[in-house]
Amino acid sequence: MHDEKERCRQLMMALLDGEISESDREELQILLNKFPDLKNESSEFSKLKEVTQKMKFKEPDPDVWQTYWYNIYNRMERGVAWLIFAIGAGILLAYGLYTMVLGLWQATDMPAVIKVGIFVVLLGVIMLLLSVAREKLFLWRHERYKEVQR
Amino acid sequence: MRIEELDDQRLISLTQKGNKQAFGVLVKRYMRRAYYVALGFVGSHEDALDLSQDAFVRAYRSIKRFELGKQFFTWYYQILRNLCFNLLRKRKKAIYSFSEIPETEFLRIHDDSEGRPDQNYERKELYASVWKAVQNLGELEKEIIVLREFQELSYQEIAEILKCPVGTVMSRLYYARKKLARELKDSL
Repeated sequence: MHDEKERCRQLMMALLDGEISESDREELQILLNKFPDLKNESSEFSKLKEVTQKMKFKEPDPDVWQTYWYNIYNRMERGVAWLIFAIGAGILLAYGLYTMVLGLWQATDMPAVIKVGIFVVLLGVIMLLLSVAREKLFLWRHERYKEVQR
Repeated sequence: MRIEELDDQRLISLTQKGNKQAFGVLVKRYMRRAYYVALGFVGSHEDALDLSQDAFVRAYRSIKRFELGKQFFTWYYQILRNLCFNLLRKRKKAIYSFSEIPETEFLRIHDDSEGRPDQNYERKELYASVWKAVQNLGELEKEIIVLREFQELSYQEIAEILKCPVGTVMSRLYYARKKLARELKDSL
């Protein structure tokens, strides 16, 4: 009974959208006689269809299509540029930190307590950066396919 | 043979080898369809343009994982729909008001019937109500309405894109339309 009603709903849609075969049309007639409540819905759907089939999207400015691929190309290139920039910045940052730590370590005129304080601050910053990098790597590994697979 | 004349599979194969020009041909082949799908989902020209382009960039970055033999647009569509759904969810969280979107300005109405100015105004109001009701549907309901009514895809094409049987497409259409009809009970 439930399956027949669902089948009737499906065939009502097929009729509305002009995707019904002759045999399905006959089946629909039989089912509609069986379920008069669905028969009443048909007219509502027809009215709705009448309105929606008049609604189409406007063509945007031709410029949109002319620059469409150009914009994508720029974004693709920019992705590579950002990656190269990040690698370069990472190398410079690491070198800067190394020389700073070395300089501090070798400074004889600085009190030990300040040296220790600076090392602890630096250690905290490095740990924070590593934590963020680890989180990003985890998300990249686990969610990079989400747009494709869902 | 010119690159524009190659079929999708050949273009994808070339793209996988790093040929950006081949990907450009694919983009130009599907950009209109992509834009209109996004427009149906998000209801804004700028967002539709941005999301459809972003989806192409993501598709390019993942193209090496594309299995040759499958349909490009079906695969690309999964990326695009998720981007659109993400934006819609963000809007919901930000209590995005529909009135901020210029209603129906990107719709072309095929209504040849002539009437008095007040009747024309009423009809315009009706189209605006329908569009608003479509935008207020749930994600999956909106998706099926957009693909059928605004993209004019056949049941078979929708089933392929959504990876479900044709019967499911018809059932989803029924429930989406029923909800729309209920929303528009006083307008229709």
